[in-house]
Amino acid sequence: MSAVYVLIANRLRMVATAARRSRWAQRLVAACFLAIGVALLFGAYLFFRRAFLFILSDPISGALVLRYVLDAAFAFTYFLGISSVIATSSALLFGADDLNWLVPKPVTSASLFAYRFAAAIAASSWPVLLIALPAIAALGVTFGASPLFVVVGLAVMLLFVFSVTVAGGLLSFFLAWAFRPLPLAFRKFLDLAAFLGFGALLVRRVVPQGIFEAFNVSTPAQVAAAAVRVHGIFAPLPSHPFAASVLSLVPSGVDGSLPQLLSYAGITLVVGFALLMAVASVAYVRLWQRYGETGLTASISDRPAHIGSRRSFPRAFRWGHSFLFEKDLLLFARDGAAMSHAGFLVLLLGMYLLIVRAVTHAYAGKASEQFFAYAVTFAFAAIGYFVLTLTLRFVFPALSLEGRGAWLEWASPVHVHEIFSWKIFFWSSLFTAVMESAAAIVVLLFGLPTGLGLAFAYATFLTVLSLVTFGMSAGSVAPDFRARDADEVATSPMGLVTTVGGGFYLLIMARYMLGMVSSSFSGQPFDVLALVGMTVVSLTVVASSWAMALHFVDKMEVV
Amino acid sequence: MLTLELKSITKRFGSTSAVDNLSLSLKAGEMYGLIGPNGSGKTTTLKVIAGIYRQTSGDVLVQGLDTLASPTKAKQKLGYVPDDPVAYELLSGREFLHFTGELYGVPREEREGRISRLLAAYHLQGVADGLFAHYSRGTKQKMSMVAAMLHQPSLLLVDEPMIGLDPESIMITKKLLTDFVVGGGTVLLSTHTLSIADEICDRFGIIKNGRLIAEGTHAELSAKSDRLGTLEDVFLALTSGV
Repeated sequence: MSAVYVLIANRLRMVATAARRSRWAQRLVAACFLAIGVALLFGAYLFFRRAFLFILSDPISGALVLRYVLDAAFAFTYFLGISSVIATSSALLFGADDLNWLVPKPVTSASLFAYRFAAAIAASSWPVLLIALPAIAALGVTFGASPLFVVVGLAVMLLFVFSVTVAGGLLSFFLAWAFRPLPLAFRKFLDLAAFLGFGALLVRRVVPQGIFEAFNVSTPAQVAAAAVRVHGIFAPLPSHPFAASVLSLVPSGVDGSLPQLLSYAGITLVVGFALLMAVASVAYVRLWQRYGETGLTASISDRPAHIGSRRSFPRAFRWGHSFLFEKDLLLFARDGAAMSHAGFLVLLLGMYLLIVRAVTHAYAGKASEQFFAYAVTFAFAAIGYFVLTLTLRFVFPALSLEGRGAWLEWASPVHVHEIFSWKIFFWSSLFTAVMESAAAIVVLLFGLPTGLGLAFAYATFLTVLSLVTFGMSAGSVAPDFRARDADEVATSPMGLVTTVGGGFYLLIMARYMLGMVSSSFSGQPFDVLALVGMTVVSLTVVASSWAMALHFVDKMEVV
Repeated sequence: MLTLELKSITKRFGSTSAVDNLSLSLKAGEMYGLIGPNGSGKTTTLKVIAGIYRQTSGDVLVQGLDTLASPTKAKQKLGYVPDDPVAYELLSGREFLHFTGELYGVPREEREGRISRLLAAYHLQGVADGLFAHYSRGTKQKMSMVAAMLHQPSLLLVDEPMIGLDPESIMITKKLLTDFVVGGGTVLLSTHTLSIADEICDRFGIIKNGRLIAEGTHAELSAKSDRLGTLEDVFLALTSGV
C-alpha cells in the first residue's frame, strides 16, 4: 500500500504548490466559494434546528416526524453522494489524466484504484457536509449534545462518507462495465437519465402519497401504526443504519440499539469495501483502458472510429460566414463534458423555478401582491444568475479555449470581427432558446398577464444578449490561449470582473423588473419607463462591450 | 512582382526582440528555406507573415498587398502550416478540411474534388471521417498540409513540416511542395531538418537571434563560410560565434 500513500502525498503536494502559485483572483474566488459553502452549511443548520424545535413542539407525533426527517435527509444525502461519485467517475476514476503515466509503472491495479478512490471520497463528501452534518449538529444542539453524541456523530459522519463512496464506486464500476462499448457522450446521457430515474424513485419512496396525513395522529395506536410505516419506508435503504445510529442517542423511538446499528453499518461497509477492492484489483486498469479506447482520450493511431457518414461541412448553415455558427454548434454538441455541465445548470434552474413557484403557491390568497412581485422578480433574477453562470463557464473562456487551434481562423481571410461576432451570435442564440423557455415557464406558472409576460420575455432576451456580449468582450481582453480548462480561465482577474460586472447589471435589471411587476400587480398602468430603462441599460452594455472587444481582437495575437 | 517581401520586420515581446529588423524577398516559383537554431525567430517570422502575430515595426507584403492594410486580401493568398498542427479536436478530418475551405471561400464543388485528390495523395481517405482528437501527430500534420493547399494559395508558409511524418509521407510532402513550386507557387519553409531543406530548397536564409545573418544558395553560403560540405556543415560554420 506504500505506493498509494506516495501517490496521495504527491497529489497533495501538487495541490499545495498550485495553491501557493495561484493568482489573487483565483484565491479570491476560492475564498468566495468557501464563504458560500460555510453560509450554506450554517443556513442548513439553522433550517434543521428550527425544524426540529417546531417538530418536537408536538408531544404526540414529534419524535416520529423527527425520525422521518432525519432518515429522509440521510437518504437524499446518500443518493446525492452516490450520484456525485458516478458523475465524476469519468474524470476521477476512469479518465484521470495522470493514469496515462501511472499505468505503465509497476503499481497494482488495486493501488491505482485506491489512489483515485481518495479523490472520489472528496467528491462525494459535499452532500454529507451540507445536509447530514448540519442535521446531526442541529439534533445534538436541540437535545443538548453529550460527549458520546459528538463522538458517535463524527464516527457516523466518517463511516457515512466512506459508505457512500464505496457504494458509488461499485455502481461506477457496474456502469462503466455495462456502458463500455458506448460513446462518452451517450454514457453521460445514460448516467443523467439514471440519476433522474433513481431520484424520482427515491422521492416516490420517501414521500409516498398520504405520508403527511399519516403524521396527524392523536392516539398511541395511531403513532405506532405511523411508526411502522416510517420504518417500512427507510429500513431497506442503505442510509438507514447511519441515521438510526444517531437517532438512537436521542429520544426518538427508533428501533435497535446503537451497538447493533453501528455493527450492522460497519459490517456492510467492510463487505462493500472488500468487494470494491476485489473488483478493482481485477477490473480497474482493464476498464480504464477500455474507457480510453471508446472515449475521446485515445484510439489506435491512424485508425480512428468514424463519427458518422462521410458528410461534408457545413450541413445547414451555408450563407455568408454562418458556417462559423455551425462549427461552434458541432463542437458544443460533441463535447460531452460541456453538455453535461450545461444540462446540470439548466436542471438546477428548472428546480429553482419550481421551488419558487411551489413556495408562492403555498401562500396563494394569503400573501400580499408585493410578495408575488418579489417572487416573479426572484424568478427573473434566477434566470439572469444562470445566464451569468453559463456565460462565465462557456462564453467568457470561448476565445481562450480556441487555444492552439486558433491559428486556423486567425490566419484565414475571414476578418476577426466576423469571427468574434459569430461567436456572440452563437452563444446568444443558444442561451436565448433555453432562457426564453425558462421565461415561458415562469409566465405560465405565475399566470402573468400577456403584456407583462411579453415584457418578461423581452427582459430575458436583453439579459442574455447583454451578458453574453459582456462576457465575450471581457474574455477578449486578456485571453489565455494556452489554457485548456474553462474553470481555470473563468477564475482569472477578468473572470472576476465579468462576475462582478454581470452581477451589478443583474441588480439593475431586477430593480426595473420589480417596479414593472409591482405596478402591474397593483393594477396601475404598465410601467413603460422600466422597460425603456432596461433597454437603455442593456444596449449601453452591449454597445460598449462590443466596441471594447473589437478594439482588443484587432490587436489579439494567438499562439 | 515579388510573392513575399519583408521590409525591416521587428517583433518584440516585451523587451525581447524575437525578430529584429528582418528583410526578405521571395519570388514566384521559389522554395526558400528559413533555417536557424531553436528560438532564433523562425516560427515568429512565419506567424507575423500569417497574421497571427502583429509586427512591432516593418512591412509585410504578399504579392504587393500590405498584410496590415489589406489583411483579408493578403491572407487569401497565403497557406499556413503551423509547427504544432493542433485543430478542433471534435471535428472530423473531413469537416476540418471543409471548414478551412469555407474560411477561404472555396466553392463546395471545387472543394470536394480538391479534398478527395489531396486526401488520396496522402492515403488519408480511410481516416478522414474520424475525429481530429483521435489522429496521430503525423496524421494531423498531413491534414494541416492538405488544408493549407486547399485554396490553391500563391505562398505557402510551412513550419517544420516533416516532424512526425513517416518516410513515405515525407516523400509525398516533398513532392507536393516541389510540384507546388513548379506550378508557380512560392514556399517559405522553416525547418531544422537541414538534409531535406538542402534537397528541396533553392535558397536559404540563416536566422539567429531574430536577425538574418546569411542568405543565398548552398554554394553561396559555402563561399561565405569558407567551408565546403553539407548544408549542416555550412550552417554550423555560419552560426557558431555569431
